[in-house]
Amino acid sequence: MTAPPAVNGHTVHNGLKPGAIPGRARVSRRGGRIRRRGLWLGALGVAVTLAAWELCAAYGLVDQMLASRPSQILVAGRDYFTTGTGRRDLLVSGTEFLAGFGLALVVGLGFGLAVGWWRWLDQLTEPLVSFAYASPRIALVPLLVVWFGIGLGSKVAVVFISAVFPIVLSTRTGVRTADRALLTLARAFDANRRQIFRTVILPGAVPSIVTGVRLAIGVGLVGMVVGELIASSEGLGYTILYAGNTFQTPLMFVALFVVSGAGVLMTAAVRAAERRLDRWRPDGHA
Amino acid sequence: MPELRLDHLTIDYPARDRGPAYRAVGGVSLTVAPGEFVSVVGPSGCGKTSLLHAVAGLVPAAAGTVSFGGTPIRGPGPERAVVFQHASLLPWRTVLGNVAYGLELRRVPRREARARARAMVELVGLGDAASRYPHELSGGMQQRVNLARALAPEPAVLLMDEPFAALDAQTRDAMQAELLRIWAASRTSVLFVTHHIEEAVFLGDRVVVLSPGPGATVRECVPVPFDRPRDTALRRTPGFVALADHVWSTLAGARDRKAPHERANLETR
Repeated sequence: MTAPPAVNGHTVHNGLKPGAIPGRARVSRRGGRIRRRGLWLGALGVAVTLAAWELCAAYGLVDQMLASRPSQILVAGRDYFTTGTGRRDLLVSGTEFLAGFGLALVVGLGFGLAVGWWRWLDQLTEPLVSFAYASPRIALVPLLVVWFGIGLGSKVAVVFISAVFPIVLSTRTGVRTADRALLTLARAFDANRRQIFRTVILPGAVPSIVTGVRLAIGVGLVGMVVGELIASSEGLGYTILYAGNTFQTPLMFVALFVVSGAGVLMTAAVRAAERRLDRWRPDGHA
Repeated sequence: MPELRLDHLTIDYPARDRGPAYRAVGGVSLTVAPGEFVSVVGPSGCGKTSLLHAVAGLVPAAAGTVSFGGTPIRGPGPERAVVFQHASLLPWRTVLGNVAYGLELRRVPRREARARARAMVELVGLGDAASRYPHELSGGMQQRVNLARALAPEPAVLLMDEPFAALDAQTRDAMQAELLRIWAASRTSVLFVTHHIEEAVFLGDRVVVLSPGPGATVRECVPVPFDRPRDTALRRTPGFVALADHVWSTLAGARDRKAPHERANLETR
């Protein structure tokens, strides 16, 4: 007997012994070990970078005024959230982002599923969507300010127009790339269109949709910051601009890092949700 | 129980660029009696899969009819079930969920669907793997799920499209024996399409030999006299080898498009 072949890191048995799944536990344990090692290595990379930055600034290799240094940023961060405007900024920007992103999620999913499913609707809207997607939407911010005012409305709109497109496009792709063999199978069982949508199209589109949502988090945050840079008197983006203009480099980095940190956390949350949702997929796809 | 009847079934595929349609199957007539196991062999590309899909109601007939118990077939229906060449399992469902799929689509209440699916999973010998996902199964196990899913709604006719073609030789032999065991337990009729002659003879009550495409027709219908239950040792008996040989030469004659007298010469040599 030769060893059973391995596919995707799984040991695969020939069909003679049904029920036996050798290597399953071992594989997932190995997957966990690799993931833990990834965390350690990632933390090491961050630590080395911060240490190098600190040392370069301490020994005068770079101008502290321009580049700041991690220890100063830490102090600025503490002040920002105790005596400064940190908590208020977080609330303002968070509200803008969550409102705009929530709207983009609802509209993007709904519209993406609709154009993926109904060919005529896609043909009707495709030129408009492509045109809008290709245009530099961020340049519309001044106009959005005129339309929705200088407050929450215009920022929600910026986040929305930034985040909605990745969700629409990836959802449409997810619906369109449904497995032909599974569609034929459903038809052979006399499934109606609703059943096909619910049992084949929707679950099959989930991985693609999740990818779009992850992209949308990034561009949505960029939209939020740009919106605040152009017209605002509070929020994380406004603080980045204000601190930069007044040479408070540490504070600028604090606000910047809060935005990046939020992006990383939200992306990680989506990934964790995806892992729960996608238990059926072979390991090691992420 | 009613019989499945194909009457001068013809299948065309519309050509691109307004050319003449491609005729995949050109007037095939055959019947499958209740509880009968009919194998269909033909050279590759002769329209075997088209034939099966037409019987399943997935492809329309250009001419001729498929009827079940005298009623013409115009689409998929609960009295037929397809076992596809590729297992086509829903990757996000467990073995049990996949086997219950056809029952759910037919609106069998959830609890009952689960119970019947469970029984089918046991019948095909996957009781211990019921909560596994398809990517955790071997090819042979996936085809067991494919079979269980088709059988769960208790169809009168099982339509099988080269289900073991992608398996290695050993697994294939084991799966053939398994299929006979499961078929004996369910007593449905089977229309089994394959290009594998030995498989067709080992499984079938009759072997229908198709001519090459385009426009495949029935070249010959060979009765298989061996008693059931059959086991793997049957394949090595002289009678089995002779019959497989006969099917082979019919098929070879069909492939070479030899005139009937030339084919007779070939066989007597």
